[in-house]
Amino acid sequence: MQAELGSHVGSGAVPVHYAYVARYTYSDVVVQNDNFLRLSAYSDQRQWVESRDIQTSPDGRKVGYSDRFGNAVHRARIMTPHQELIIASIGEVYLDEESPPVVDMSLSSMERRPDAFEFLAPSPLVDPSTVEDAAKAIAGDSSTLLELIHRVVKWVREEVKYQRGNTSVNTSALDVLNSMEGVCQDKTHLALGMIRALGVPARYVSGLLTRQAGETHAWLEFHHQEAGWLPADPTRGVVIEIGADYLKLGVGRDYSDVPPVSGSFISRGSGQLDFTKAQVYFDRDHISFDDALGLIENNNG
Amino acid sequence: MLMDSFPAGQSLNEFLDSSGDVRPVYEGLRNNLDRLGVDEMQRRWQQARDRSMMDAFTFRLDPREFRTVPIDWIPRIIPREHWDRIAEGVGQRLKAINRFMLDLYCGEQGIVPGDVLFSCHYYNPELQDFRPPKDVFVHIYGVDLVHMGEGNYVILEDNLRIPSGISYQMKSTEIGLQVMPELSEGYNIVPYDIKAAYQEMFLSLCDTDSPSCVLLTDSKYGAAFFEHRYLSELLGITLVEGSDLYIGGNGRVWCRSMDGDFEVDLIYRRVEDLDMFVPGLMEAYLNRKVVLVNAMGTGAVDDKLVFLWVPDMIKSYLGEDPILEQAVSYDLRSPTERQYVLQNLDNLVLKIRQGYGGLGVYIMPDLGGMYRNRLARQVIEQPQTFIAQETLDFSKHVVFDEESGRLQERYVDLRVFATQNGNGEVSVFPGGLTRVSQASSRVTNNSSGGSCKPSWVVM
Repeated sequence: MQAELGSHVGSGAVPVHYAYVARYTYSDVVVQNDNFLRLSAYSDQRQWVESRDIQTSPDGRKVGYSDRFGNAVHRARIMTPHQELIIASIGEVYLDEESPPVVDMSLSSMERRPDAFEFLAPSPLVDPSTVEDAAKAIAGDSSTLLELIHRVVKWVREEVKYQRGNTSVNTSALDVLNSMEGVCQDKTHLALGMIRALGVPARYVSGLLTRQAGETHAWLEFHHQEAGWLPADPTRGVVIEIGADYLKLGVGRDYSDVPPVSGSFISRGSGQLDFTKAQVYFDRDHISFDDALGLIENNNG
Repeated sequence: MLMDSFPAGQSLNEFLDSSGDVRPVYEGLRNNLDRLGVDEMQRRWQQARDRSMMDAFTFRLDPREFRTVPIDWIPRIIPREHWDRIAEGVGQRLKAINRFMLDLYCGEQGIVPGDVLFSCHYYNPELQDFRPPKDVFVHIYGVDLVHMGEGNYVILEDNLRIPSGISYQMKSTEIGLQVMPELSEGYNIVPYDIKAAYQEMFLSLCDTDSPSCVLLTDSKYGAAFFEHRYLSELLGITLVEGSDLYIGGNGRVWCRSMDGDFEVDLIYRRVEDLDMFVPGLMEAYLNRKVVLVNAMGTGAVDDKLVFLWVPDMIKSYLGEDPILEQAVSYDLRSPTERQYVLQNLDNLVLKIRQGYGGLGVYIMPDLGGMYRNRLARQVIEQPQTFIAQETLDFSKHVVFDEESGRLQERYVDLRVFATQNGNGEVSVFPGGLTRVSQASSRVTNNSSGGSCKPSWVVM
């Protein structure tokens, strides 16, 4: 495995460093804070993870594991009383710059893999049956896999208005079809539902855009029998040709499987995400937690 | 006669064999019941209920309601050879689970997938590298079994957090023998001493000769408060609520008292979320200032999905085959197992991983179509929150219906309690608690409205 990826590094892979930070504030003292963090780089053929680490302030007890989708999860339980929680994630990844060579295939020749069921069935936020009619109207008569994907991605990108503030982490694919607006996560959910409704397994991806600093981004992957999982971004209208522009953090059936931070805390007060920012660097030879914390200072300055 | 009215059963019955004849071990009891007669049984049933009432022998589902534990006083009789196998199997399981927990928190384990363990609500990251006193995690263990016939008892689930019911085992047997001593005539019931076993356990866990122990209850309005009060009286230890305890300047746990506050060496805890009841208690525990029974962290193995790997723990840590079978169970995280479960949902039992007390248990063959579709949908959307098990057609027993003076059939299970002391010695208390379902149900938990029976192991 390592030797094979080593050859990737030699040919078309580019080393990048990433830093992510989130700050939560609470209206009263939190005595215990237990969080699942899906904020580390995902490891696969296109992403060779050299290092990854996560820190919280206050410090807590951490345990790391791989969930059933292969995501690197950290669980951190903080027992020190606090009213502010900072979560920082850093790492180094070799990203494949070359997009995978793909031969298009006719939809009629597609075979179902036994585990594809997972990514065709309804998930908490994406029920394919609820967007099936729309999917058929838009791409129902596609003859090849790539034609189908291009048509769904183009339609969602152009027709669903990019609009912040009107949707939440609980907005379903059907909600988006009804309101025809949302952010990257919402567009991804709708496109996922449509692709699944047309019989193609598709999954949700949470990650970072490497060429611009900001919040986390969402896109999708659809399944190709020979090439495996291939990327498509219904927000930016990109299919397969993502180069080194995207860094994958996690995959799942929809957002509910890969929230960057989820968990519970014990406090009389309430909490809110006060600040979050991620940055990917192409020109550095190391990264530290200070770099992640620096993202906050830069913002305030 | 009592038996005249009873039809030969279609299903396995503890009392009767398939041709409707009383099983040999119950013949003496049948004669004792016949000598007593239906009228006298009705009177004794009333006396026993009055006695329960006066002893406040309650299991409260609603804090405003004074409700005695419903008991059918016809005992379950477990032949000695059945019991010996149960006791051996329960002890084996307890030892393997304890070994696993040591590796989970203080070493490395490769048996249960990390995804399953570390996502458990009751996995405690703060316990990493913490070795509990004398390396014992599981001091008090409750395990639920059902009888499939011929002495084949099958395990349904493990209770490792704060298993309740041991006082019901003791109290139902005690009241039964006092109010209707005639029933045990001709039987030699195997005795046991829970008080001695607990006291010896507490002593073996502490570094002092006369440890100061308390029982921490969730509240006097809790369902199991009878048990908390009963055990504290039996064991001679102080019964406290969270507000009675505090962490002193020396980092130790103190108990408020009219005669002056005192330091606590050991807490028999009947609560799970320590810091909600006594702020700072977890830290005191981690600093080894106090012993907790059960140890913290046991909840991770109490998870119903982790149950699937207990046979592997037995093989791996003890190098033995499991003595007792466990119900065939499915891991719904696997797409292929999930598909099997969805196709066969009508024959299976669905359980919520972190449910307890019969809540979140769905026996699909006994449920209507509306439930079925909603649950199928939940399995598809949230597969990681459930497990599925094969539905077992386990044994029934007879219960005496006071109104009609006749016998009826009910499903019964068996909760067996075991303890492990600081020297690693295991005691399994003969008889256990037989729980009886309501009519037309297979769920036997008290919190689901079930009742109990006295249980005897006879020589």
